[in-house]
Amino acid sequence: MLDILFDKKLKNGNFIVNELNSHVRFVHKMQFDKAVQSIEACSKKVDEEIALATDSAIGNRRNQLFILSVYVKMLQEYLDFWGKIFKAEYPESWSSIQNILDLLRVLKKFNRDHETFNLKFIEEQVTGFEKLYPYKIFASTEMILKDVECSICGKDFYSLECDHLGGELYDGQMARGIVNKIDSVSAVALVENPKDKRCVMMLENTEANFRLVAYLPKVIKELKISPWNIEGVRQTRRKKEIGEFEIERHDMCPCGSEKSFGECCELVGYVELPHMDVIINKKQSLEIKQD
Amino acid sequence: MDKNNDVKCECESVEFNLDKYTKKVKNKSDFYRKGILVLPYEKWGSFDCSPFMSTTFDFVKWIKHNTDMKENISVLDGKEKRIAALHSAQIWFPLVYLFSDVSLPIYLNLVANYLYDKLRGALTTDKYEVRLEALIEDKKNKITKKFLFEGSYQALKEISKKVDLDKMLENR
Repeated sequence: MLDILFDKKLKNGNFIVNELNSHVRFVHKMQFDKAVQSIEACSKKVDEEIALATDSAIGNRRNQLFILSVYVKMLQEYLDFWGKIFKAEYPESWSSIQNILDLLRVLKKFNRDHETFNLKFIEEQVTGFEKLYPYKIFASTEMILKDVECSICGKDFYSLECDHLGGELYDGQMARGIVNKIDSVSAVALVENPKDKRCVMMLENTEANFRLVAYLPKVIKELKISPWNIEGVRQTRRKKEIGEFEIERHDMCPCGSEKSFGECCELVGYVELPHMDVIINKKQSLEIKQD
Repeated sequence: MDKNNDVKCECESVEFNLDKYTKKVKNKSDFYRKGILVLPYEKWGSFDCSPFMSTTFDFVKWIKHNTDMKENISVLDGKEKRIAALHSAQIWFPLVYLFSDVSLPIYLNLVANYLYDKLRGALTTDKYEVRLEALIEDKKNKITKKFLFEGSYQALKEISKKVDLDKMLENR
């Protein structure tokens, strides 16, 4: 779908590719304001292309342009995420992560080539960053819906009168159910695997709560690298000497096993703690090139 | 019952009268007495209504669009329809009644193909759980059997491939 950028029929194709690549270079140079300007310029040109694609015979082109607009939106969210990280707005950056991931799901569904447009890279990086946040339990609602209309045809979305499938593209629009009336809400459950991870119990923006996330801007500054040099985050375990802990046999083991220390790490002679490795690649090149 | 790695896969004979069940739905639409009949749940959670799960109509529309089962699936739909929306990442399939011309493996194959299509955009870290419940007409013995599955999408695919579902149903 995104290969529409290389389609010669696209009036602004070269301009958009050039601006996307300028944005990559600006992020590399840590010039985020300029990167934002490049992506805004792309967004305007994509809107122009959508306005030009009025011929009803080119429904597929409108679908391609819709996906291109999702791609540009995802890159805007990505820049927004880093903006929040550098301003130490860690709780707010969680929503940016979820926005990026939702847009990536759409892109992955419709775009088979994950390499050329850096989708695979961004997915691995951002899903890695997710692990750095303290949010593990989420709120999930259970409700009864009464009146839900289709975003495409306006008919009852939950009926066979409406022919549209949720999440599919129709002439440049994605079919969605618009909830007009909620009959009742039965519960808000606490779950580990919710549909929407934005529903979290907000934590105070303190060093203790966001220690791991705060490591990201720190590592970028100290190593003089850019966000493009971070490939992702790897969860590992690191051995520590027992002497480093002030602990009794009957205390809970610090490794997180929920066993007593005497029944756990004391038996093996060391404590294995969860550890996060940020994977750095200084030779990363992310400019978009046509194969 | 097989319970492995948080997978629930069970089959049992149940008391079920389709005519009584369908009578409860007011102003119901026409439905076929063949193939797959999608039913509202009699009750769901603490709600005082018989809702359809939110996946229901998307699943039925997908079958009608993408398979040759178009004439073999209908929904016991009433005017006072309610939709239950869950915001966990569990994909809760509708309650279905399988008439004897559709086997459980055929139904599970439809479910697996639907999921494959729906989850095309899933990220490598996404974990989707599946829940499905099917009432199966056993015309020969004049009984109904209930099949229930709860587990990961991966486990569902494995069960569809490895477990002899017809044999599992015969033994219950």
